[in-house]
Amino acid sequence: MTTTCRRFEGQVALITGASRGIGAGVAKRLAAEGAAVAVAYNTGVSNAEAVVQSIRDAGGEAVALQADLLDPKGARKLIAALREHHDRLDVLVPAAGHAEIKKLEDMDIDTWQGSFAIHLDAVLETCQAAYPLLQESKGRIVLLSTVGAEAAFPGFAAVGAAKAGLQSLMQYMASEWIRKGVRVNAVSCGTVDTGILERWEIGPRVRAFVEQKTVGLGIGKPEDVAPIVAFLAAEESRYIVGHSVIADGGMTLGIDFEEWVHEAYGKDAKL
Amino acid sequence: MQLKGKVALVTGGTRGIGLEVSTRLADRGADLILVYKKDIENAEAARESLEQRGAKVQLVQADLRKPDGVDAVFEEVRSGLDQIDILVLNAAFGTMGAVDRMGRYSWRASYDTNVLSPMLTARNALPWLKKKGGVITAISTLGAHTAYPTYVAIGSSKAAMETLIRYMAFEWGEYGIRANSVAAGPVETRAIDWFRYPDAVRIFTAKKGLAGRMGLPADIAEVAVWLCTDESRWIWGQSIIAEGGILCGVDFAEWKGNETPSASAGDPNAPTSIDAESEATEGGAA
Repeated sequence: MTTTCRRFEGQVALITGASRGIGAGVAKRLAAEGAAVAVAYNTGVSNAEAVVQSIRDAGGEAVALQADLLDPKGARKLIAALREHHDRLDVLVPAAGHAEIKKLEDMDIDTWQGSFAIHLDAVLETCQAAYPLLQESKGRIVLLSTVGAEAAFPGFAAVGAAKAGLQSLMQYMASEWIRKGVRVNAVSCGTVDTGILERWEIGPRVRAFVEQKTVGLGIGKPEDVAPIVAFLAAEESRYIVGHSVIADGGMTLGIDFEEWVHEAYGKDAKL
Repeated sequence: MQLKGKVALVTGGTRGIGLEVSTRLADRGADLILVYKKDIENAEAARESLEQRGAKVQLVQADLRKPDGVDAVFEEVRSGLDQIDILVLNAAFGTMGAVDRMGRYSWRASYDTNVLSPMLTARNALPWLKKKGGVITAISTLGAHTAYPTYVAIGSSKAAMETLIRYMAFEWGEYGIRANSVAAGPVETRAIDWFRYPDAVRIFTAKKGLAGRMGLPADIAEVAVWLCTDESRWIWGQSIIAEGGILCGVDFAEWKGNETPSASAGDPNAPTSIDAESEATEGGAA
């Protein structure tokens, strides 16, 4: 980490889904900037402990908290567990989620509801449970969405639609809670290399597309998302309220005709 | 000092949001080329304060509305610091007026400053920006995303500029050049007085903006400078809206209906018909 700033000194941050992927990246980043971090996980206890250990090794403060956010009491239990370690909460980043590829013709209600349960219901409950603490600290919530909520990537409907709902929820939380000092925004991510591509049958094609067709950075790493989350959680972004910032390395920026120019006019043809 | 060794060219960099951007770039270690229109005393004062922060500063006087004005800037860059890693397109101009009263001269003046000039400026800066994969950040307005009374020349030209920025990111991504915009809500600068009733804008923004206050140049500059740093490396071709939550929605609990004084019954497009209260209410429906 190249940052030398310590914007979260004396603050407490809670990150769900923090045992791996973007959540783990965010936890490490906020800890590196001085936050005492609560690493919430569901089943990945050894991963979560590894995240906590790497934060402590770097001189940071972290604790792992188990939570099943699909349990109706899960979010409240998580906040109760947090209170056993800390009497405040400044930054909440609900990053727990999963993405299963399934085309609509094959969509079953369990996959559909499961996506909404974790990406929408659990986020609402986590934010509600954290709201009293966040009010006291004039806290910030940064949600994680996907460009699959802004455009359609076939097979991605269950996540895309749930995250579109999440972006609307983000605006509602922002407008209802800002007067109490709680600021809410989101990052809408492109393809992030979290290991998820390896679990999808279509993963290699997603990777090939993003790497070949993206004009900018293409596939991102959790370390590319974390500074954006940190910015939206910091005082610097104080005038950004209720927005979803698209961060995708240019993946959805435009349409490059090069491939079709070559198909129609030969590979020596230039745009 | 994340920007040590880098040079930033900031148009309109000697006052308002531009000066706040310049100050923060200097604090992060960047040297500066500041383009100003005509107020040399103000420009010299800006130079002095930025040099005290440790930056090398090159001042360039130019009228960016004229294509040869843009060319002249880069002649001076070549014989001056001869380096550009960061380009901040901040200089802006606009004439207030409703669509039905908009004249060709006012319209062109807005588009020349807000669209043509950024295009020519970026094109001229490209050879330098290409060298190490530079950054372009443009200052836009909320008026490009919603409508304010009499703001069409500025709002629509800035919308065009944001699209231009997107195209730069698209076409120049292969050189590693990253381009984004910040769309600012109402900000307390000299430009707020372009509105015929600036206090109406102030009341509206404080009441209807979720942040509960007018924007300050520093609020916007923080976002713009962040977009110039490696921290935002995964954001390409976007417009980040920083407006204190004005766009979020309308709180019906504050809607007074018939109690609200109505706008004067005359010409609904006339800026004279906007009083503070009706602006505050009707503007909130954005």
